[in-house]
Amino acid sequence: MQDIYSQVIPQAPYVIWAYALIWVSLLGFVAMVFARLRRLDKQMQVLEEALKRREQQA
Amino acid sequence: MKRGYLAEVMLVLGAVLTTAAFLMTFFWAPPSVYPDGRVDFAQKIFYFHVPVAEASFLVFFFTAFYGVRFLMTKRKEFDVKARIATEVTLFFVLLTMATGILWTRVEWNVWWQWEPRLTTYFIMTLLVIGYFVLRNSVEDEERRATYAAAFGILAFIDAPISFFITRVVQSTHPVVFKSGGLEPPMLVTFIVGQIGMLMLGYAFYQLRLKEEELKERLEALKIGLGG
Repeated sequence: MQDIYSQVIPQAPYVIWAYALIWVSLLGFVAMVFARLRRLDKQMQVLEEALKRREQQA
Repeated sequence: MKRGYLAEVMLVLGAVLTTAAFLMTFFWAPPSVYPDGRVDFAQKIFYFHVPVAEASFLVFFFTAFYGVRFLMTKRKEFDVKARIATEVTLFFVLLTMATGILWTRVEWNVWWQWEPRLTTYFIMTLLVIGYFVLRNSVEDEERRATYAAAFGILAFIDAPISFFITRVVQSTHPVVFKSGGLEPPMLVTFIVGQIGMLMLGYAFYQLRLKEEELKERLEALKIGLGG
């Protein structure tokens, strides 16, 4: 068992880094896109309401 | 509405499958061993490195596909689709390079080697970055889209070259499926990860497309309000 650990441990940091990079990047990408979509949705609502108000006034 | 819903379904399915593949990688797939019997723990990187690389090739195909469609029709929507496909390609390409370099450091004791697969993939990385450099250097919208479409089509030629080069030219990069050398649990783990990653790629593309469409509608509304 100790023999296996001595083979695995030197390689482990590279494997951990690889998977950490992948997961952080995937989550980061999704989080960024959803945050921007939410912001755009809010802006859209505000503008649509403004447009509706203007149409009612006219 | 339909696009957003499908993208979210694919995103959830992709997340479930990639998470399953991650767990299978470490708790189910047997460890690979070197010819001398030592455990090859770094081989675990393969289960995500290859799916990410395959996703980059596949998404890059859509850069060329929509590039061709743009040149045939001159419709702006195809230029937007090609640009977004290239954005998603860049994301996957950078992940492939990063995970590949980490694997290379363990297996070959160097961070980089100018062997055929790595070199052609590096060229593809530069071409994908070059696509955006080109876009940013042309101000006229029509010319920018035309140049980018032509560049995207030409750049994509490198993808099949990079994919098949290890099967044609002597290379130190492993060719996993050449001799069907994966044990069933390894193969299943890989396939689950691959399908999951492709679903994520599709979801990323559709979500970015939805964002672009929202931006355009927003601009149109602003113009409507300003006029």
